Amino acid sequence: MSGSPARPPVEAGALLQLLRRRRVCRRFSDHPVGERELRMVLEAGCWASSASNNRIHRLLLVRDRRRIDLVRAVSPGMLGLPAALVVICTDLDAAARAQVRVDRDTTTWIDVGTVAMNMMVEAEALGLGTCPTTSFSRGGVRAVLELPPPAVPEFILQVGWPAGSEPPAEAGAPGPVGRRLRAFVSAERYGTPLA
Amino acid sequence: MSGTEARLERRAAYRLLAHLLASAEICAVEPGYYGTFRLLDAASRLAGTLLEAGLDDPWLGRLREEIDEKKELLMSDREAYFAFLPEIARRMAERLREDAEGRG
Repeated sequence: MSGSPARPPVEAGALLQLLRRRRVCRRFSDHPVGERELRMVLEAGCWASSASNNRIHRLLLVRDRRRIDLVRAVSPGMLGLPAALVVICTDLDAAARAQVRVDRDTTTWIDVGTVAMNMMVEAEALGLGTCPTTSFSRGGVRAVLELPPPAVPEFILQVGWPAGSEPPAEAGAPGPVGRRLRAFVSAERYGTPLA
Repeated sequence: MSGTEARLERRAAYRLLAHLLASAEICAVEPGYYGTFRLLDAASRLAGTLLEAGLDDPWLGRLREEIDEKKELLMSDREAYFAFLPEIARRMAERLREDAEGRG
């Protein structure tokens, strides 16, 4: 595989392998996550693509068990008790400065997803488990975390060491790589499966 | 207080209430069938809270473990998940009847 000297190739096969094995983790051990690992996960989030490079999202790291408990109480999507949470917030002040209309601009949601995915992939590379959470009371999370008015919680990433192996999700298009490509990818015309 | 009773502290009750109210909020935007999952999860949390509060009920402990195991079928085997719902409701009803008859 070739690459320009300025951008040496990374092991693309290894990255794909990492993406294939990643699963949602719903059971976490009590073992704390180290500072180094958390910083790497957070940095991965900060390197995510951002529409027009507007960067209107901010990350809030929560490690205090009491605060995690409070967030869990208002977040039915949190089934386990992770060692840490990363709350992705839209910063309405940053959005206003960038003239982003958060009520209409769907790219802001895409950007939340890219930040989350970067963090999940980095966590997977570190052996950590993650669980994305969108099923929570926005007002509830704002209240228990005492978020300032411009910070709107959009997504909570649960992070911790997995307590056990999670069974692979079979819903949707499961299994072998080829089957997955055929289920989700069209070639040239929508609905024409990739050969 | 006997083993058939549990004293629920305000904080534990508040936590359950917060969960139920947040569930009500998000059920308005989630797919309809997710409501079943939220109720199952709430049932598990209620059982867990009662056991932590001192209720001596191994049957309830096993029920909770089973709910926690089977509720996640929603993500992997929907047919099995939806078959579990009437099954667990029937068993809870049988337990209720046995308890009412003093056989619990």
